[in-house]
Amino acid sequence: MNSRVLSYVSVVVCLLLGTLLIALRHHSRQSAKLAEEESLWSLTYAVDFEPVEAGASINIYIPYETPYCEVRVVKPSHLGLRSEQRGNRIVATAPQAGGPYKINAEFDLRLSPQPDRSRAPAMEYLTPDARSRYLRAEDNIPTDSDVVRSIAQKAQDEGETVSERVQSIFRFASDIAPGDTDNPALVLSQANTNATPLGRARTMVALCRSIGIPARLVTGFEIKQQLKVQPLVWVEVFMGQSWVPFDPTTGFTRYLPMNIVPVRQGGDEPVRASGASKYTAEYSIVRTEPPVSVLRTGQRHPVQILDLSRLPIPMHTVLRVLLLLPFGALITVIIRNVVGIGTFGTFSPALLAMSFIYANWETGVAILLIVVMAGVVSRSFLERLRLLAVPRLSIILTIVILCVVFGMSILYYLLPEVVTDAVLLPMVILTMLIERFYVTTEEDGLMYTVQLAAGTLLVAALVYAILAWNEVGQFVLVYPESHLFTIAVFIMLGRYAGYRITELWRFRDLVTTSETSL
Amino acid sequence: MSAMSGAHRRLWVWPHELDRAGVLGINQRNLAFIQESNPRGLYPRVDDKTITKEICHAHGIPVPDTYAVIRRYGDVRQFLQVLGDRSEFVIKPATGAAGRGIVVIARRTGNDFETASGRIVTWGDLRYHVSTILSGLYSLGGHVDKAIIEQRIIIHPALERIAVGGTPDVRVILYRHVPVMAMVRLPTKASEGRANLHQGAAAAAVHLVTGRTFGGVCKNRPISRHPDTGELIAGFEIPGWKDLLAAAMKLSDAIEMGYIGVDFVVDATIGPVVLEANARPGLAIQVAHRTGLLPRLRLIESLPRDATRGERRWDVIPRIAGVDGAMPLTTAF
Repeated sequence: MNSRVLSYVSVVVCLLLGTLLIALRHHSRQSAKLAEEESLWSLTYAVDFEPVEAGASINIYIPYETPYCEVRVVKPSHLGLRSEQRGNRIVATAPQAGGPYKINAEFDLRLSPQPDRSRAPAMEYLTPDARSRYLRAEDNIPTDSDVVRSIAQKAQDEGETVSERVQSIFRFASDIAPGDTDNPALVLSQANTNATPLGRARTMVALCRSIGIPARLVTGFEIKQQLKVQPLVWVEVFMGQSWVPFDPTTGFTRYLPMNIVPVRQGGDEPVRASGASKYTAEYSIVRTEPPVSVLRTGQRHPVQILDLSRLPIPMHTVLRVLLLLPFGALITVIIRNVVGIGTFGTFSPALLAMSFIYANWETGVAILLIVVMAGVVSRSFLERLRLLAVPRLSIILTIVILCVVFGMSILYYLLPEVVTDAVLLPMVILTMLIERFYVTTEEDGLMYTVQLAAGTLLVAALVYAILAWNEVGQFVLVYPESHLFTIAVFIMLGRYAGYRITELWRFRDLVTTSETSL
Repeated sequence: MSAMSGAHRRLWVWPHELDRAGVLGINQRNLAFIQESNPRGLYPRVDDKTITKEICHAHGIPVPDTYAVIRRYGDVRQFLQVLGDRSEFVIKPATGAAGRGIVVIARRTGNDFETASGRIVTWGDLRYHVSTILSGLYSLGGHVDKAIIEQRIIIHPALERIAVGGTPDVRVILYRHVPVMAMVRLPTKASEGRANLHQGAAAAAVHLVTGRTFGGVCKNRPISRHPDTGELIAGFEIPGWKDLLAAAMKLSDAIEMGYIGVDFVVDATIGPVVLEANARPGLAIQVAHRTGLLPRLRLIESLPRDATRGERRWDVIPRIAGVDGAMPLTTAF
């Protein structure tokens, strides 16, 4: 196998292995997360259904998914009924009159505090048909009664925008005091003898519709453990391009708490019968156990070795910086081999950048400048002493250390409140850097030295930006195996035989002349 | 030259244009030629000039006379005795790169010396310089080094007009032991007497068949006149060109590396002598030639094995020199 094939094979192996490890560990972490953050609930509708005629059916509304709640339908159990799922409801039809039939519909709900925006309701367009449906009068929603008209008119006059008018209607519906018989709201409907949640919701829907704002009742559940659940009722108003929830009972507007799940839009019960029939429905919500494997995540297992985030927090900063260093090397490789800019030393820029992470970078740069200047000045003095190399380097090292120490001391004296952490510059690397800086200036001229210094600073700045990127650091800390990808990229860059970007400039005359000489 | 006329001055070109011009880039040179052709274990043969010199001696290839090799700090004291009454000599690190750490002494008054560029140095300065060489300041990777004291080469009169403050050297790049391209590197004021292109030295292409200069480069840009003197750098003939090529091929055979540059200087009396060999020869030679290396390298790859061995190589050289068809055989301009 030649080197090229072997390289490509290694790249593929690294990529596959990396993907596999990350996928496996991500999966196991996800299920572990479930136990800690998410909760599983079981929502059951128990319906007793007595059809009076053949073909009567019962509609069971399936909970809607929300960003916080995922819904799974468990097949409903019943005897002697034909059932099918139509859109967001289950329709069970009785072949003949009689009964009573018993239907148990069960839904698994997964509640997560991390919203999944892909399940958020989409924007929608209200067709003229639908629009008129959500504007018309209904039983208990008397849009054209005089009381409603006068209250709605007041809201219309008070607010300029739809939003303001809806807000004023909402305020009205919320403010109805329980048992306040003088309140005109209670006159809205004969059915609402008290300020029940349903009464408030109907009041709000009636008022909205009366001034031409589409509105509807929504039924749903609050997810909490309870054997007999009373469905909740609130209002949705069509504003802009979507249905916006308003709950005049609890006071939530424009969004719902994470543990509220809507079940039916445009009605006040989660179950509806069609055809002549009688029914009773009871609802219950039970918290279900997380899977056993999940409860055992704390167990000691060799796989934990891969998860560095379980190590004590004080180690995290160091680990994160160490794990980010390969990305620093990646930048170095790209700048040198793809862009073609030289630096002092191969990894010294990356190591320099690393040391700035522990302090704020302004302090770091200030001290670095002091150290390099003092170093170069003392190096040019040392040249006159004619010393052997190692003692000479040791003197520079000592001067570097003294500069760093006193630099910090001076900074602390001047700005005692600013200096937070020690600037742990890599003294040995700095010493070599100063030596190289001096020798390069002497040997290759100031221009070339400045070029190298600029390249060094560029790489150091880029590496610093990467190292200071907390999200990336957290990711590698959790999935250190992602460095298999980094290695794959290194191999590919190591096989890069194309031109460096600076060569496009360096050899430009070869192209121009070969064209003109033709 | 048309390139100097500024007809098409562009700041940069597309990769595919470079590719079409047959330009070899650094990455490709490293991957496809140096790594493929130069085994790691053989690097000391080119990196350590004392070994290169031994190889040259063994194969009868002319090199500057070695006066002494200083290996230990203790030996630095004996420097003056070794030197005897010589007033011209060169001190260089055995593993130096890019002409770093080389001091050329041209005159001497007692224990005061004068470098080729006219700087006066004392005996103490020289002793210190030797000890910095030993400490590895100029060596590849900073390893402990040796200092070579050797014969100073006297510039051949034919090249005197284009030699400013230093000795021009001739580089021949060989691939699979066949000469591919050659150039003569000319020190300038900017390069402070050193014949190293990235320090500002100029270079002229040398035609492989005739040994005559053409083209030219300085600081990566095409030139046709010496940047200091304004002298035309084309049309010079390298003295002893055939001997030089023969020595280059012989050394390449002996070193056994597939992609090297061999550096010569042409002495007024001895003719071409080998200064050093280089396993990572630079790419500016392409600018000097106004043409890329790749077509020539590909031609050599396409030749049967026995055509690139021994004396048969002389038949191949004209084909290589003519493969890009850019320059006529006889005169450049």
